[in-house]
Amino acid sequence: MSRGTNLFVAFSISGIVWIVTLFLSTGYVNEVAKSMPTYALILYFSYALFKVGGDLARLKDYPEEAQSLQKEVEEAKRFYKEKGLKL
Amino acid sequence: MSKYSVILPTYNERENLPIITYLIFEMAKKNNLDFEIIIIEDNSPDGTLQVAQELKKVYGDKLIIHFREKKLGLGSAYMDGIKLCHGNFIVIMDADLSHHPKYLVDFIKKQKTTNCDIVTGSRYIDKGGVMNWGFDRKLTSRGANFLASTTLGVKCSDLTGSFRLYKREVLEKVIKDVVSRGYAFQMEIIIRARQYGYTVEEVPIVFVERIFGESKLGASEFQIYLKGLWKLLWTF
Repeated sequence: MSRGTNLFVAFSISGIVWIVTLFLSTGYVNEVAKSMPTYALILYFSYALFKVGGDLARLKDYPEEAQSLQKEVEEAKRFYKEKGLKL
Repeated sequence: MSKYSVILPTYNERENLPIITYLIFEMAKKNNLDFEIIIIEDNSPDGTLQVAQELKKVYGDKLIIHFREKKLGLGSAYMDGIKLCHGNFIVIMDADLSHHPKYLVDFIKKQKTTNCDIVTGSRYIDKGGVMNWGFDRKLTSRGANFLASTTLGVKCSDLTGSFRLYKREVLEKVIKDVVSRGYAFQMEIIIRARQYGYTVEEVPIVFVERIFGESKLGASEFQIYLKGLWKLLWTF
């Protein structure tokens, strides 16, 4: 089974359990069941925010790499000039 | 002794091509490595082919030029390039200087010490990074990788990266089955490779945004990426 199929089956089963719980439960359990999909979405997006935010904070810039590359570009141009190449 | 073939697809890279070629061969000379470059040139209007032909006067047989009448995409560029390779290892990388050839020494070291099938450069592991990226580009890239890894359930820190070293037979086998385009193409290669039981190791790289020329990234790339991701979801 593909990942898409697995996810579809998992979501479908979760959906069926949720609908059954919604119709068969009363009182506090029913109140909690109503807000489960919203809670699940908030949980997922909070995780996404935490993960992507953390990864962004850790993603480093390396200005020295850009400077070093510029020097190598000049070095390459000198090399080709010595070889008499018209580029 | 191992031989390494670098496949360089080019389109409008007349300024970058001489530099990347110089850097690859200088790295190879300094480290006593046997390298060749296969340029897949898709009839660039800026004269990239003429530049490649001038470079051949310097590098001779170590530089192979394959000309194609029009832009035919990365996948077909790699497939055409593989047919012309003499190496037992193949490197795929960008020609716009965003992938620095100096990291190939680390790639080769990693491959030799682990005997892995694929080494992939990652911007997102310790000692990896970027330069000349705005916040929105960083956010898009991290968001895209997060979406891919959670949706597809694949553990790879830089799924959309395109700086990789392959054992020749591994790339030959995997690329035949790849159907995606754009960034999803690179993701599909890793997913398929893992499916076949091939091992993938990561090495930190610093990705420097291109100095010369124009980026081929656009809004349509993101659309293609989402379509590709959706397709991969139902493939694996």
